[in-house]
Amino acid sequence: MSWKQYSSAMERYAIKTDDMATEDAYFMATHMPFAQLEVYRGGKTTATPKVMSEAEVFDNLVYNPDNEHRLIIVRGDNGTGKSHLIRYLKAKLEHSPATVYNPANEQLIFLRRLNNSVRGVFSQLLEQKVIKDNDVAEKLKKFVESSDAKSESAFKIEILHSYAAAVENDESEEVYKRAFHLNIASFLSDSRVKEHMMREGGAISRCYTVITAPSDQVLKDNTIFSADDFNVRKLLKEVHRQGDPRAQDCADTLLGDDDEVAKLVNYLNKFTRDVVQRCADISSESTKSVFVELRKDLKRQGKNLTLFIEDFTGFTGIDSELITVLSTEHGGDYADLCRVTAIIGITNDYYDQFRDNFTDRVTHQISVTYNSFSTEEFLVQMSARYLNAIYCDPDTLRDWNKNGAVLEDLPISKFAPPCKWETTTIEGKEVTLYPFNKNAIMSLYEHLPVKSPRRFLKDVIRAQLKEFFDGKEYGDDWHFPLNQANIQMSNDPHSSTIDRLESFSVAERNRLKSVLAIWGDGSATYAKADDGVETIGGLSKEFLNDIALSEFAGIGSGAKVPEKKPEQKPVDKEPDNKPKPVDGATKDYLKYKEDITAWFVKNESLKYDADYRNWLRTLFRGDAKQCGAVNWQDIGVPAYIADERLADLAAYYIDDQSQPANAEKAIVFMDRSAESRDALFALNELRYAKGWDFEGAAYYQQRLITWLERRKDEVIEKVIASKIDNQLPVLEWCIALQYLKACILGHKIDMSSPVTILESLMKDIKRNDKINRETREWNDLIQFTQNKEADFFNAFNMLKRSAATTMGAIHFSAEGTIKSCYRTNELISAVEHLMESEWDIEKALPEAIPAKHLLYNPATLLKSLYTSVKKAMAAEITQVDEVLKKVEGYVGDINKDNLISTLSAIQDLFSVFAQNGILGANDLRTKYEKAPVEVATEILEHTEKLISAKNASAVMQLKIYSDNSLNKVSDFLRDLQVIAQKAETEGTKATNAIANISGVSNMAELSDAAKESMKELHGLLKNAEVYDDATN
Amino acid sequence: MLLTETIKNSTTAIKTRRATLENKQNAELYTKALLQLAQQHDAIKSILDCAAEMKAKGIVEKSVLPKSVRDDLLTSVGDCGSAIAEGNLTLDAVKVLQTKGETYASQLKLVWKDAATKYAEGTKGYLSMISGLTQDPRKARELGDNITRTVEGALSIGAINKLVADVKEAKDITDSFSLNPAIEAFLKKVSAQQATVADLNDDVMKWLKEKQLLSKLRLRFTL
Repeated sequence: MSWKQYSSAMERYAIKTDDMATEDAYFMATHMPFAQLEVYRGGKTTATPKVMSEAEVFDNLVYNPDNEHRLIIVRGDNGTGKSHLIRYLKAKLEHSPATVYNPANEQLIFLRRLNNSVRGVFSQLLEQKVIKDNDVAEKLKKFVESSDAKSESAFKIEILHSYAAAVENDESEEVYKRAFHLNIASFLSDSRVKEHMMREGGAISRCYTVITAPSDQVLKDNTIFSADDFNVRKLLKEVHRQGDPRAQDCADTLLGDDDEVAKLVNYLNKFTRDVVQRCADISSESTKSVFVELRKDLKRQGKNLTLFIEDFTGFTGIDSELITVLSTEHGGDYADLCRVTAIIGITNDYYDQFRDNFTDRVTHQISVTYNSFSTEEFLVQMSARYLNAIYCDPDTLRDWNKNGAVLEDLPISKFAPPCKWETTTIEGKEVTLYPFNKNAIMSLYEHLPVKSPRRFLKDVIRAQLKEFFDGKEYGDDWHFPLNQANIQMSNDPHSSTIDRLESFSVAERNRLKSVLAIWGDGSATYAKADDGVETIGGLSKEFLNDIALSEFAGIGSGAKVPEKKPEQKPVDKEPDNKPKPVDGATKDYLKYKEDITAWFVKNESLKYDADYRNWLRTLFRGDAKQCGAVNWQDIGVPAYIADERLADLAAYYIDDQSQPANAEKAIVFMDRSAESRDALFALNELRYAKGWDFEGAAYYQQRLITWLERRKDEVIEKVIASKIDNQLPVLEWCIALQYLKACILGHKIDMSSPVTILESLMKDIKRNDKINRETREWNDLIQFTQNKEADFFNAFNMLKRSAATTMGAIHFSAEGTIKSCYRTNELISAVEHLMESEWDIEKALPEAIPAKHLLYNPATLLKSLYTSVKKAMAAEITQVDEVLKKVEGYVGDINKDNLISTLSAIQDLFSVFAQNGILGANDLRTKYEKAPVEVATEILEHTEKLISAKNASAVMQLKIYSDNSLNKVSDFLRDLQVIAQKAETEGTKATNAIANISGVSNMAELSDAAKESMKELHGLLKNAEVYDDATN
Repeated sequence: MLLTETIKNSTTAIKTRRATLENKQNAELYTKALLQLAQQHDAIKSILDCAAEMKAKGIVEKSVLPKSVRDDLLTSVGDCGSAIAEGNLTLDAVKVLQTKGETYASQLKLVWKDAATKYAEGTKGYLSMISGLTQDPRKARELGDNITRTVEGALSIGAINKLVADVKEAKDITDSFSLNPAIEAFLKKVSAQQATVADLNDDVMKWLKEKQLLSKLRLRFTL
């Protein structure tokens, strides 16, 4: 046979898309007996099962010589082989001798999944002439035919209306009040809702599929309505605005309320059975009658019924009735009914969902579990049978089937592999596994996302064979083997070597790696046995030649063939299924390895990129335990800058990482390449081994260093945001910022020498609240420094840290408490340059400054600061002019003589105030008690400083004005203003008081009268008679 | 305006105000002194009048104004007069005059009390002795009391005139009550509560009958 014929045999007979459509000869030739079926009595799943083989199941349950009533459920997950088992049991019964199965007294009905819909079921019932009631048969016939004739949209509208009618006629108030039923019906009838429900994938479309679906569709369940049908805000809003009032009411209820949506979904799904029956125009009773009449008819004929149903899902709408009829035990009141042995396939999900219908009616359950098919023996046997069937001549197989399909007589193909290859035995006959081997079978099975015989057959055997046959047939575009699970070679160095084989295409490299990983021992080790057989990675070189990989010579000198070659392992050996315990670190190691491989080979996104980026961070930056791989300070990059730039994980970006990030902003970019893959592997190995003391460490080190060195310059330049030989003058920017901040806040800077300047500036400069500035603009400058306090702090921090030398990993530069030595020469040089530039380096700042960039942040701040300084200095100059002009208004020309005169006058004034008891202005009096010449000299100095700075640059003005001369002179002006006002006020008061002082009235008259009275008294005394008391 | 000018204007005004205020205060003190001087004039004149009236009414026989006092007063009056003429009369000057006037007034008051007592004591004593025997004994006693109060009271022209008038009225009463010496001696004993039955001689008994005083006579033992 040719490769094309093999391929055809596989596609047409052995492994069809619908495996239930497989021809009987192939079905029997490939059938794998189930060895471990779990059998339960009754419908409950809690009992302890009895394990039986399929032969035991047949003998004990299907074969029913005592005519016991049996309703047997075969359940399991999708693809586990329920249908296969049912079909085998049916075939075995059919092929049984008359003592077991006699068509004369046993009616066998087999309802296949082929038409997995209500219509399909009805069609099969009609075809197999199961329906004895003519009226019912006519109705079903009419439904089957009408659903063919009826347009899809007309059928869907009928379904929707059936739901609306069912809701409207629902008289129970268990879920909703009666009135709300009308609201729901109106809502469902709304044109917008109707359109939404009938959309592709919508509830009504699903229901349509359940009723009339094409045969190749397998329905997971028959839940028609889901939350997606109602949780559409736009739809509900539109109905709310434009629907009729009842529909509006329903929409309002559903809008934004998930609980209400769930409630409606459950409520509507209750009507599915009614709707299906309504659409099929059959009543519940008539459905029952189909099977009741059948059983009665068979009874009359003296027959019993053995019913095989591949998939019960297709009976939606009549499932309950069917179960009821089939569960009715014959005899007694039902003596007119025949005995039933029903074997029904149901998924576990379906059984769990409708368990109430089954529990008390089911007599036995057969559970097809993972254990039934997941053993190595099962899978190898299964593979061998399919391979044998494919390699066999179809007619030979058909003859074998016609002759009773006795397994012992199974024809074995004459297919000859190109080299000695693994085999297994079927009934003692040796069968090749070519092109598979046991390694490949188990590895491919283990990596299936869903492990089931069906998936293994289709996704492994058929898929791989298709590519193998195509490759052999056409030879120019090999895709064999497929490696969807991205299984990787366990030997990374070898894998990496293959990746670097430039004489091979990428596809060839991947094929080679896949073969070695899946079929071989995970390595590419070349070996030559004593008998001259050459192997690569444990695989015969002939095999590689056969699949067009002959150019690969393997790695190593090949002195010896490994003692245990994979293909020489005995297939029939008891498989060691016990998983070896794996510790957490190993689990992680494997997890990372798999992830990195999938990223590189399958272009999948990295799942654990955060971890890898963390590894990269440690590589570049070091950590508490180790230094980084780059000696930053040696190459002139301050540890602090390197650490800060490399501390954030966002600085590391790996192509196609799962965590969203901006690759443009990354400093370390890891492309998807073999080199990067190897570097990540190396870091994974390093992490796992906790050091470089492990096998292959030299290789991994070399790969990691290669990766690092290729990217080192680029990373360094990104870290310093400039070329290595032209670094940004960040220190200079930071010093300039400190200088400007000191000037703005009025801190003294010892300008004697660069060293003293540095000493003045290497301090945390704080605002002095005692200093008041005269212009809003200067105060704005101060506010600017306050607002940007964090930026200034960061710049100062950068100045201190960047100029410091860090011992050990740059990681330690983050700890501000560690004392360091400053690189004074760099600092002095920066100060000297700033002095030459008169501290104005605005023009030297980069024109385009990246925002929020550690290294450019000082420049950003400096740039905005220079602008603010200029603005403030312009305002200061204006203010200086105004102040000096006003002072001149009080003292005349500002010179020493005038100032002394004014100050003397002030002292006079306060003296007069004191003499006349005029209170107030004590502070001013005290302030100007000093010798006028002393005060005048001070004022004059400030004034001259203000005038001298008028023509200097803004930054120089800032420095000159920093000591607040303007404030001193302004204070003096304010004093003059206050004194003048006080003088004027008191002068005015005195003038007014003088005007108000009145004279004393009648003083002259009183004086005259007194003068007269004294004259009178004098006369009286003069004339008075006296005695001379002196003589007495 | 330069600050020096502003200050100059201000200090000038302040100084002027101060001077003006001082002047006003001085004028007020001068006026006060004039008013007080007027009061002292009246007081001293009143004292001089009393001194003259005492002599005129015979209460004293000769002048009661010592020359030294008169000279002191003359000096003070002269000082005040001169001060008025010069416009610088002070409260102190008035106070000096006041003190001198008040000193003399105190002296004259003593003179008055002494002289008035002597002037009234004979008449007042006899009246006291016979007052119970007069037709209107209450009036007689009141008259005696008035004389006592006037003598003890303040000196004034009114007091002098009242004393003179009251003494004259008392004298009129005693004059109408003429007695022989034996009766007078008996009555004096009675007044002194020393009279005994032995003193009730015939003359006394006869006089008592004439004057219908027998029923007014009471006896008692003195142990």
